[in-house]
Amino acid sequence: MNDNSEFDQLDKLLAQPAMIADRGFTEQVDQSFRKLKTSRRSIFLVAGLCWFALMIAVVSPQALYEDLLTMVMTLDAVGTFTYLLEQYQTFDTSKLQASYTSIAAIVFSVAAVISMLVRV
Amino acid sequence: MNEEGSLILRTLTHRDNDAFSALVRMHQNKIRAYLVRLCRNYDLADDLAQETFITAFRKLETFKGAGNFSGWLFKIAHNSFLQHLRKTKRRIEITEQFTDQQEILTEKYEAISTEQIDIEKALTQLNPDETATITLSHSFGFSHQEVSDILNMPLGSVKSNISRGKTKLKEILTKTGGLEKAS
Repeated sequence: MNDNSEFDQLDKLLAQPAMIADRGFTEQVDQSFRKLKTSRRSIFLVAGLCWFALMIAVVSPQALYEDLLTMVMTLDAVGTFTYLLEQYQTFDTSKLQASYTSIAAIVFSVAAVISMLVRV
Repeated sequence: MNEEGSLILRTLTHRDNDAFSALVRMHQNKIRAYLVRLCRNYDLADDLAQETFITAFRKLETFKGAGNFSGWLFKIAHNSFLQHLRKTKRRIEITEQFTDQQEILTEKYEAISTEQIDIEKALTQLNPDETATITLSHSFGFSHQEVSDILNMPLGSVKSNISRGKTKLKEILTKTGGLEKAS
């Protein structure tokens, strides 16, 4: 057998690779996806509940409802921008009295948002 | 749009598990066969293959759709293999179960002929770069340029690895009579 025909033979053998049988592999991977989704959903849920609980602890439920309503009403981009601009322009740092509770609420809210953004 | 494309779209838009499972079913045999050739260990190859599909599921939105999905999966699989090598900081050792036990081979593969067993055994004598380039180009039909992209290896190195690897394979198979059996 000459060199070229040996290489041709080798190419033919290589072109027919033996394939690994599934034997439950796909189901195993599928279960991992479902676990991944469930744990991600749980983290989102816990983070959301923590955020909500903290908000209720810091402000009264009625005030929270009003804030949410205001937020919904200002959801259009121009409105939000104008609102934020007004808030920024009228913001008086001398009136800033940060209590420990509100600082904790801010810290936990940021942590909750970050945990929601971090992918599991 | 072909079936693969619509499954990718369904996974992307609805995070549809069933659609992605269908993609896994479609590609698992090639990805696992590739990783088995690199790892020379079935359990490790399966772990890395699972990791490959989970990474693919999580990063599917980064798949631009312009390239080949199969190539993208092989790229993730190869990176998983490299990451494993870095983590363990050791060379892959060929386990006895990998090449010597006929019943394990027939259990692991869909169907395997004696010629294919000879090829699998011979491939264990090559280094990972030679095995990867030859497997991707000759067994799974990728062009040299695609192999270069998948392995992040210069085109010249791809060609030299293939040439060197094939020469080694020919020598091994000539010695063991593997090429004559196939003719």
